[in-house]
Amino acid sequence: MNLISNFLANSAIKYPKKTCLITDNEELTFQELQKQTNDFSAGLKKFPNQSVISMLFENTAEFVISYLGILNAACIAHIIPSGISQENLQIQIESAKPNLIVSSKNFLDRFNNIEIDEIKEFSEVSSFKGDFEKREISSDDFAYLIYTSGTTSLPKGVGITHRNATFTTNNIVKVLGYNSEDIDVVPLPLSHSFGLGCFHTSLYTGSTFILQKNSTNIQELINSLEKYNATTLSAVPATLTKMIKDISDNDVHILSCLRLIMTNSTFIPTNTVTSLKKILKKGNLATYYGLTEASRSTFIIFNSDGKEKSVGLPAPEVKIKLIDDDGKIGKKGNIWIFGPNVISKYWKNTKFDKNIIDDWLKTDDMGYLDYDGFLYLTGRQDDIINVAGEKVIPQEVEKVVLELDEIEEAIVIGIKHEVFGQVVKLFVQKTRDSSIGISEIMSHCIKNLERYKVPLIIDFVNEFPRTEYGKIKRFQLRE
Amino acid sequence: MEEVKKIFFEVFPTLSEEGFDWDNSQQKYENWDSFAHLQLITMAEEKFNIKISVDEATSIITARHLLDLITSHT
Repeated sequence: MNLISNFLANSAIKYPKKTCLITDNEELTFQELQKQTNDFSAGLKKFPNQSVISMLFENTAEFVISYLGILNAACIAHIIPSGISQENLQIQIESAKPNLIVSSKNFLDRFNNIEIDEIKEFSEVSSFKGDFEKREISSDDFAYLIYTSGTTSLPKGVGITHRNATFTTNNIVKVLGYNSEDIDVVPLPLSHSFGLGCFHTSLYTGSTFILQKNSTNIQELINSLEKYNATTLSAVPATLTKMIKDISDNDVHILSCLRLIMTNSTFIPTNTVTSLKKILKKGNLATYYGLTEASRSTFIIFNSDGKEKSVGLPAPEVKIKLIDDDGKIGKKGNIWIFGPNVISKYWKNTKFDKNIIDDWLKTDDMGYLDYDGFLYLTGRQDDIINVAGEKVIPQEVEKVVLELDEIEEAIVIGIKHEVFGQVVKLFVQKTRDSSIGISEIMSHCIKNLERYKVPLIIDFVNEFPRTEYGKIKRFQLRE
Repeated sequence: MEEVKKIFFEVFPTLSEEGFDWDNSQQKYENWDSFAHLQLITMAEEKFNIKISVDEATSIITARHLLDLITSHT
């Protein structure tokens, strides 16, 4: 049966005494995790199958036990990111309508002014005295619910079934060769599908999962790789880019021992790819493209030159098609995905259900395929700016602006213009102590971009509005 | 004066020293289109900390026009 809960059950039988999970302050074997998970599930006895249980934790053992306990009890884990804003928390709770909220002690007061059915601190559920009675779970039952980060719109709920998640896990293992010998260091939030997918993979293969809270403390991360003799590292491109900046010889040696570094589909600077390929003498650097609603839809292992900017080929049994503005299938356009990793509908959201037609998901990510069938991302459909009939992809302008040393972050949006319909507006965050001016930025853009792509308005900002996952909310800049 | 000339060289990177003339009209520039026009205005406003009105902006068809406009504002 294709169930996430079976991952742990199987590994607990095969490797009972092996270390399964290491967090900042806890270490659990597969057997111990199975026992604590069952105890937690027993505490959810009164909730019928497919009840929604919201959970709010940081990257801790409590998160893992609650998550697996909820799934084991045939309920749906609504996973709330720990950095959520109060406004988004309210939106998610109103939409998910949980039967129960489980939280770590330090987050309990976040729910003070929100209308809820019932809330419990972790220990109230895990210390329940009673036996766990196994429940029937179907592969098509929802396993978890995640609200997407909302960079382009308000968050939307994505319910993932056991079948979706087990299919994706199988593909990760098949393509990237994860196995029980692996020791996986993961500085990623488990509330995001990248981190959660890594956790499922470890659980499935019976490897050891080292969960880190903080992705910004690079030294701590490198220490963990060394201390635990890690074989794989999964991290976002920003962590990897930061890691290889001013890297010491000893750190290079530690990284060179890894068999795999896994990252995800947001833009990876080509320099980062090239540097990591050099460092990883025997190992591989890999990335994937996917959305919460179509996880790990492509993969690429960067083991040959020339495809550094690609997100790879479609995953096994996953199909991708590109549809242009005229509705024709071709080599360039809006990316559509089909496969067992794709959700069948959104969580109580008929507006977004229109993006799923005949089991094909319209992603609104724009891209193109090269002659080998490798996919490249160019931007988001809803971000495209129309300047007097000419299309401007914001990321193209942002990349050019980021070539300037004194620019920390650059975001481009379209704004209304009487003559041209829209013109390009640029928001920039300068590096500390930078004295760069508007004319220097504009002059650089004029030299490197077509005329209509040059930002006509440039605003300096101290910081950008961000989602719980750290992504910049473009839609808020447009308001 | 040199600063205004610099704006022209920034907005038209292919413009050579010999090719520049204060009285060359818009038509003599290969790529003085409406985008370049807006870029000239934006750069002038930013560099000289002035605000150029729509009417003033549409009156600029030579480098000298821009120079005169900036002088009248500063």
